[in-house]
Amino acid sequence: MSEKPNQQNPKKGEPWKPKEKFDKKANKEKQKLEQEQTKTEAKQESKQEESNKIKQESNQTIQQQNIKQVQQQKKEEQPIVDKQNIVQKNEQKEQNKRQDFLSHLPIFQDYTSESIKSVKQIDPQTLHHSFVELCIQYQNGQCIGSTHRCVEFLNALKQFIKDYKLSRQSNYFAIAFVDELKKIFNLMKNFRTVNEGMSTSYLFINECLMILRRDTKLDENESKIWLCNQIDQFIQSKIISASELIIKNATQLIQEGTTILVYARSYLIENFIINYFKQGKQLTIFVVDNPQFGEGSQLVKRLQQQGISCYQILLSHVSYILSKVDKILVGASSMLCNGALVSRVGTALLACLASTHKIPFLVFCESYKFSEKSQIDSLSWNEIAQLQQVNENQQYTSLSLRYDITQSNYINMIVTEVGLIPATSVKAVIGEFKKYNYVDAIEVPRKDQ
Amino acid sequence: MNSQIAQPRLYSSKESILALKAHLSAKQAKLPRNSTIEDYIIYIKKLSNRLKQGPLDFWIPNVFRRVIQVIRLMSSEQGLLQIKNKENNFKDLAHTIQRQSSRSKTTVETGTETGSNEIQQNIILPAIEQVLEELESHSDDINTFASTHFFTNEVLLVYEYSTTVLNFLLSAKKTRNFEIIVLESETETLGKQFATDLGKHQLNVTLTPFTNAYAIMQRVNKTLLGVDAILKNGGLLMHPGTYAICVLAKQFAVPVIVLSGAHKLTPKYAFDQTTFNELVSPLKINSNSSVDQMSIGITFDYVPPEYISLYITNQGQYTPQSIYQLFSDFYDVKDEDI
Repeated sequence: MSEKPNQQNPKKGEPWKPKEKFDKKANKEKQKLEQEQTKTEAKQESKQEESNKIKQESNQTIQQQNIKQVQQQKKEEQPIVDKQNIVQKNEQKEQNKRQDFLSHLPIFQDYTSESIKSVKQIDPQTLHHSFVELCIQYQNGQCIGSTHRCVEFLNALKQFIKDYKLSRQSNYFAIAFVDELKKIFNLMKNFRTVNEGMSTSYLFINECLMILRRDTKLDENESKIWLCNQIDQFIQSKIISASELIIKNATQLIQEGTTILVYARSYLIENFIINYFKQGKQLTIFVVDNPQFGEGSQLVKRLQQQGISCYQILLSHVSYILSKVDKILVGASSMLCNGALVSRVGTALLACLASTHKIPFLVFCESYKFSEKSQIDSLSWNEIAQLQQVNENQQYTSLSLRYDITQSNYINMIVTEVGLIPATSVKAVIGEFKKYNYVDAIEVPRKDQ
Repeated sequence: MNSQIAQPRLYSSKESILALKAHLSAKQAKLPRNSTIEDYIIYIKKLSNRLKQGPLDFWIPNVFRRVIQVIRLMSSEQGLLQIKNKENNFKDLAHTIQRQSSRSKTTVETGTETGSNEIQQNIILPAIEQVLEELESHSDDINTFASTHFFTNEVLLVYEYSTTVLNFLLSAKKTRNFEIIVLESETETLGKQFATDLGKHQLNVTLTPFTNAYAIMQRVNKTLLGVDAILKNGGLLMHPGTYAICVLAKQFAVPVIVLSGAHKLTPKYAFDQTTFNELVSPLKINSNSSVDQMSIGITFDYVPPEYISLYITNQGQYTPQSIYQLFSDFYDVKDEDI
């Protein structure tokens, strides 16, 4: 299982240099591991000396007791060594942290398919190959955008459920899988921050497992199939039909011939524009690009493939065309309880400019991305994007964030599948959804007998 | 070469004025033998129009304007130029009277009979020298205000590369410590250069892309900006993105301090982004852009005066509302047609 991604990597035609880099990284990690091992060995030796002393002392007493004692000591030794390992790993983590005002934010290491196995939370034997692939895609930016990430996560989870085999000790799939799911969810936190859509789907699957546990008549295979179906249904109802509804809502909202400005790349907005043009209506589109992530150019290319022409502009040049823009549309990573929007970095700047120019600022967001968290500023929680290699001679620190928080007073409207709502009523919508286990009421499976 | 990239505006001003000096002292000027000061002024204006590179080149005309103004002042000191519009030029008049009274009466007052060579030697060349000196020393003059604007452990935001801002920060570093956040422009990589230059002097520097401006603005205490041109209404022209930063700063109630040599004073008015602007090549914005991709890129951002807290120039500190006073001291209204 674990070798599969390794074989796949060269197939994708990766250039020679990155491979070398990976090798170097792997080497470095090997060296670190070796160092750790030697350290722990040395400590083990000292421990053994101590235990020897104790042995000598105990030799004076009865031999039978002695054997028992040694056995106990051996049992005690191992956890101590483990603790030392953990302490060392913590030290390493602290070295990775920033020294400045953002020292509270985690830095995500670059993992290769090999080095993923060294992550604390995972047992290499049980790690499913679909998660290894997913994690690497998360890291190298192949899998970007909250919707995409959530869907890919659910697909990987489905793969995992299909290949999952119950161990002999546990009889019930639902009970055993809850722990497994928790492990996986914790594992995902090592590569990118878990976005709101992912945690909603995690809550939903947990809810499904609760139902399964109550209704234990289903056997292993049946419950797997049921769970996979539930996940499919989640994707269908919360992501696919939701986006269709949002597009429908937005099409009614935006009149023909308006000039819209969109930022970065949102699947919702992309589909909305394509759908709008398919109906034979016209829009003037300005796509604002950010060179760091290059999502704007991706959107422009995608639209050009569909035969839609649009203007491309950088965020810093946006002042020039602001007076010509009628509406600004952005996608969301999540909407917070206090009405704040979490989205691609730069959105807040755009929202601020829009409010000074009195341009309506609309957010497109499916309701499964609504969150019960609330946040006021962009620095207390964020994710650091490591897009550039840091030189050792560099005399300054570089900082690049992935998200920023747009305050609710800059947002004029949220377009969701439940309707057009103001930013401050996110909390009300969440309250409604909580009554129905985050999705429509889950159908309890009955075994046909 | 490096300084040429880093300070293109100052470089072009300096180069043009050195060219003027060389041109006049090499006697290549096509002037009549007994030319007056007025003839010289007209000639310099003509030269300026010839050297000017397009309607968006403010810096060469600015420096020539200044030369003419210094020539006017000097000649009126020496009584060579008759002041025609006395009512329009109260300041000049006051200046002249003051100087004349302090001057000994033995000054040669030959009036229009003075030969062109003497005019050149006594007035034109010294005037050029004075302007050159102003250009050279503008940074030092601005730096005298450095210690009065920051407190210890303050966080300052700077954008793009500006030698004036660099010198200002380095001179402020002598008395207190502070943290600097450098915003990197999206099109040019001079931000990196700026961060490196600041980092060399043991300053605490963080380099961050332009898109992060909103996120970090809440940490910033003051914003320092260099400038391309200060306009007569108190607004300014600067690298694209400055407008967004100034709007943000106003939202967060962060003061915006603009540092500039007085040679950036441009006696023109702008009202929106389109008054003085130029679209740049799409390749400059996106090197991978194809022919059918319509990219828009601009040269300047106009920032209205209400977003600026203070101008610090080598001629003193001014608010946007009072900077017109500096204009009337620095240039003559008659020369605004250059």
